[in-house]
This record gives sequence, C-alpha cells and structure tokens, in this order.
Amino acid sequence: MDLGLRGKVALITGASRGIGKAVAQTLINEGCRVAICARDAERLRAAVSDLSHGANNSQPNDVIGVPTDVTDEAAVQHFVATAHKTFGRIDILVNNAGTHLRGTVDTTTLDILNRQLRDKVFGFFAMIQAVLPIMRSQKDGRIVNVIGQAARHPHPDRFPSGVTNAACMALTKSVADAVARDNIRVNAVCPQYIESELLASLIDKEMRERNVDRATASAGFSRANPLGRTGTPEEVADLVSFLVSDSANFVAGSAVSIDGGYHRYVFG
Amino acid sequence: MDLGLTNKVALITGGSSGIGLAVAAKLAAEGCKVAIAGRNKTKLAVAAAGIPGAKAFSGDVREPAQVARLVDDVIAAFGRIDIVVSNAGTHLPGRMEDVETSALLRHIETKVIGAWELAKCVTPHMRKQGGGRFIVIIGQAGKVPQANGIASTISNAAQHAFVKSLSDDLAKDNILVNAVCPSRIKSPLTEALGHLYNEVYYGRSLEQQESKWGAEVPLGRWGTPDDIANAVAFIASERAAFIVGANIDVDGGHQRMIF
Ligand SMILES: NC(=O)c1ccc[n+]([C@@H]2O[C@H](COP(=O)([O-])OP(=O)(O)OC[C@H]3O[C@@H](n4cnc5c(N)ncnc54)[C@H](OP(=O)(O)O)[C@@H]3O)[C@@H](O)[C@H]2O)c1
Ligand SMILES: NC(=O)c1ccc[n+]([C@@H]2O[C@H](COP(=O)([O-])OP(=O)(O)OC[C@H]3O[C@@H](n4cnc5c(N)ncnc54)[C@H](OP(=O)(O)O)[C@@H]3O)[C@@H](O)[C@H]2O)c1
Repeated sequence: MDLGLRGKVALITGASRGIGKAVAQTLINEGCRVAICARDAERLRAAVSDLSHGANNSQPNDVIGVPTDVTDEAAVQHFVATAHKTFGRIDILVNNAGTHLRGTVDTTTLDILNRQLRDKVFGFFAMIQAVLPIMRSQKDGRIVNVIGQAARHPHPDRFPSGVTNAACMALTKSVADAVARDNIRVNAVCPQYIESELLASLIDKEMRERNVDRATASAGFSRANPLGRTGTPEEVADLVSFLVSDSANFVAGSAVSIDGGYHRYVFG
Repeated sequence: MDLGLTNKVALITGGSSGIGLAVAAKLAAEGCKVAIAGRNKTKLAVAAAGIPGAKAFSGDVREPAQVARLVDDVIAAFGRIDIVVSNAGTHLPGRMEDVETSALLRHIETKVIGAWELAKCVTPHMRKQGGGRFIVIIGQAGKVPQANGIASTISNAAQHAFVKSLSDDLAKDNILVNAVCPSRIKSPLTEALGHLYNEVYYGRSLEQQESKWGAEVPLGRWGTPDDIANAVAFIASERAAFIVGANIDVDGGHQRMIF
C-alpha cells in the first residue's frame, strides 16, 4: 500500500529509543524527512546517526536531532522552529516523549504526579500549539499522540499515568474537533506492553519488589492479553505510519488500541 | 508499506456494492485472492468481473445454511480462507414507533447473527491453517446513539460486544478479530437514504449549536468506500499483528467517545 508519505516532514518527540525511534525509522522508510528530539543529547546523536544510515540506505537520510525537554516551552519552540527552517514545512507530529510512572494514591508524591502530567499532557499540548500555525497555513496536518492503556485501566498502582493518560485522551478529542475543518487530523494510539527500555524497567521493578524471577515477572505482562505476548516498537510504528498517511484521510479523533487485546472495553 | 497480503484468500460479504466492493478491490490490488458474497447474482457478477481474479458466491447471511454453504464453496474454490470481512447489511432508519419489530429482528439477523454464523463456520478452517483475520464492519450508530436510528444502534452495539468477546476467544489460535467503524461514507446505501440526521443540539456547546457545527462530521466532508478499504487492508495485514479486539473509527471524527 502506498502511504503517500514521500517527501513529508515529520516531527517525533522522544525518538532516541523505543517506540519513538521505531516510528522515525518507519517514516524514513516511507520517504519522510524527520526531526527528532529527546533530553539526553548523546543518545539523541547516536539515534540520528543510526537513522541516517539505515540498513538499506546508501544515501544519508534527511534526519535532524534537536536536544529538547518537551516540558520546557522555549525548548519546544526552538525544536519546531529548527525543524521548520531546515525542511520548510511540517506535515506530521508524533507526540511520544514521556514515560510511565507507577505508584498508588499513597505512594505518589505531588512531585511525581507533576512530572508525569508535565511530560505528557503539557508536553503534548506545547508541541501541538507550536506546530498548529504551520499546519494551518499548509491546510494539512497529521498529529498522533502515543498514549497508553493506563487511560482505560487506571489500576491502583498506576495512579500517575492513569490520570495523565486519561487527560491525554480528552486532549486528543478536543483538539481533533477544534482543527478538523483546517484539514488537520488528530488521532491517538494506545499501546500496552511494548518491548522497550521502559518495559524492561517495569520487569526489573517487579523482580525487585516482588522477589520473583525474570520468567515470572515477564509472564505478568505477556499473559495480561489474549494474544499472550508483548508487542514490538515496530508494530506500534506501523500503526502510527498508517494513521498519519493519506490512506487514513477520513480518520480523525480516533484512539486506536494496539495491545494484543489487553483492554476490557467493548467500544475500544 | 508492504502489507504481506500476497496470495491470501479473503472473503468479503456484501462485496458487490459500496464499501464491500472497495474492500474487495483493494485487497485484490494488494495481492489477495478475493471471494465476494451477496444476495443479488447479477450485481455480484458485474462486481466480480471488475476485480482481477475475484469469484462471486451468492448467499443471504441471514440464512445459516447459506452461510455454511458459502464458506464450503469458498474453501472448495480457493483451498483456504485467511481473511473474512463481515460487511453485509444495511442501515435501518426510524424511531421506535416507525420500526416494525419484525424489521428489527431481520436487521439483527443480518448484522449480528450473520457475523456470528460466519465466524462459527470459518473458525475451524482458520484454526487448521494456524490463524486468520476476522474483521467486522460496524457502523457508527453503535457508538453514536440516535432516536431515529435506534434499530441500527442496537444491532451495532451488539456487534461491538461480539467482536470484543470473540477476539478474547480466538487470539490464542492466532485468529485476530477487530472492527472498522465507518460513518458518512458515500455509497449506494447512503445515496438511497438521502438526508441523514446529524445531532446539532444534544451534547453541543452553545457556540456549536449556533454555528450548526454538528451538521457535518468534524472533518466537514464525507468519506469514500476507499477510506474504509484502506483501514481494512491495514488491519488485515501482517503489519497489524498486535492489534486485537480493537476498533478503528473511519468516520471523520463523528463518534464522541474518548475511550
Ligand atoms: N512501552 C510500552 O509498553 C508503553 C505502553 C504505553 C504507553 N507507552 C508510551 O509510549 C511512549 C514511548 O515509550 P517507550 O516505551 O518507547 O519509552 P522509552 O524507551 O523510555 O523512550 C522514551 C523516549 O522519550 C524521551 N523522553 C522522555 N521524556 C522526555 C521529555 N520530557 N522530553 C523529551 N523527550 C523525552 C526519552 O529520551 P530522554 O530520556 O533522553 O529524554 C526516550 O527517547 C511513552 O510516552 C510511553 O508512556 C509505552
Ligand atoms: N456507507 C456508510 O456510511 C455506512 C455507515 C455505517 C455503516 N455502514 C455499513 O457498512 C456496510 C456496507 O455498507 P454500504 O454503504 O457499502 O452499503 P451498500 O452499498 O448497500 O452494500 C451493501 C452490500 O451488502 C449486501 N447485503 C445486504 N444484505 C445482505 C444479506 N442479508 N446477505 C448477504 N449480503 C447482503 C448487498 O448486496 P445484496 O443486496 O445483493 O445482498 C451489498 O453488496 C453495511 O453493513 C452498512 O450498514 C455503512
């Protein structure tokens, strides 16, 4: 299927590893020029280098990296302005930067809740505000927010990410309605248990805190969905690439689950 | 994007018109061998003639014996079934007072029991093959309640419960069940229905009420059968192997749920 992405410019936040980096790679494979960001400048540089010389590419790809903390509004402005100046347009934004903080109502501090909200709700919001004038002037734009099933399953030990992800779902629908008639499509993907450093850290945490071996800790994640396995960053990247493509031109305000069947909602 | 669909066998019910026809053409273009089903043989023959390699099978999904025969015939013709797109059906407009109970029953027979019977007949084959995809086209009446579309609202909501429960059951056999949810797609069905009611007051802000924002879906335009076909092709593909029991709304933003 030709996704019609050749020559498009995509910004991906949190793309120095994991899901974000896989999204960048898949969009490059489809012919996009990409600008990525993360906080750790060294790891970001390494990612730009990997992405510039992908396996099948003899020509260096059009990839830039701008060290950015998405919770810092000035840094976000700088990231977007740099990408715009380099490539001349911005067609796609993938809001992915963030993490998943665990904790209950008892163990969560105001500081932890603040951090989780700032990464995802405030970070997503700042990025969207920064790209909207450009997408509006182009009368075309595609935004995908990478949220996560804590929105639908705010378990007791996922208090910070549960409330944050639920807010991101409201953010997605509200913005989608606001900009749809400017031909800007805003959608979300809700992954769960994707093999990244984040998931590895959650498995380590279970081993430490529950004093179980790796197989037991891992099983707690893979048997939580009917497919019986965890997903890969590339699988999420394929869905994101479909949603930002011309093949999804009538998809707006949708939150698509990619979780091996984990979530328990009838209408999800 | 390489969808990995070459030589897969796909059965599309309601494949002789509108959305189903576009799905069949798209899957064929991606390398599938397609079987299309519907009731009207003439319509079916014309549709199949336009799709390279397509075969037509007549049958009414409301009749369990005909569904069983349909699946047998497709297996006999192609040797396997990798993808089923359960799409046959129509929209039943009207308020409770306008809709005859018998019409509601027929509607549920088509949309819910038809898909159920199809799944029952095809699952043993997919199990033997080591997996498959079962995709149900569920109109957004299931998520968008409306007084004058109450019959479709009931049947479509039931389809959602069917998809999610069945996906839990079959995932272990690598049969992935998902839904694609259309609204406001230009097709022979919607052409014939004419004006479709859009809610401009309930759930809208004063600003939205006064600007009649809700008179169209958020994108402000209608979609095409190809929009649905693209989503079905993606969900049916090797690229969507971790998507289970999920929906993709292809509705211009019509439905109002955030979860
Ligand atoms: N993996 C899963 O199963 C899963 C499930 C549900 C949701 N998600 C969501 O998917 C997204 C990606 O997850 P992942 O698993 O790929 O995580 P990951 O491996 O930890 O990668 C996170 C990426 O985001 C960057 N980042 C984090 N905070 C940032 C900030 N404030 N500003 C800029 N960049 C930032 C990180 O780089 P630096 O640390 O250098 O900034 C890194 O590149 C996250 O939003 C996560 O919540 C993941
Ligand atoms: N277009 C939209 O905006 C929209 C919105 C929401 C939902 N949908 C749903 O999407 C599906 C396709 O819609 P469409 O717009 O493409 O409609 P369409 O153009 O009327 O096509 C319907 C197809 O289903 C077949 N069919 C109907 N009843 C059948 C039965 N009992 N057994 C076997 N085949 C049957 C029809 O052929 P025969 O009549 O020859 O059998 C035809 O091929 C329908 O289920 C519809 O409710 C469409």
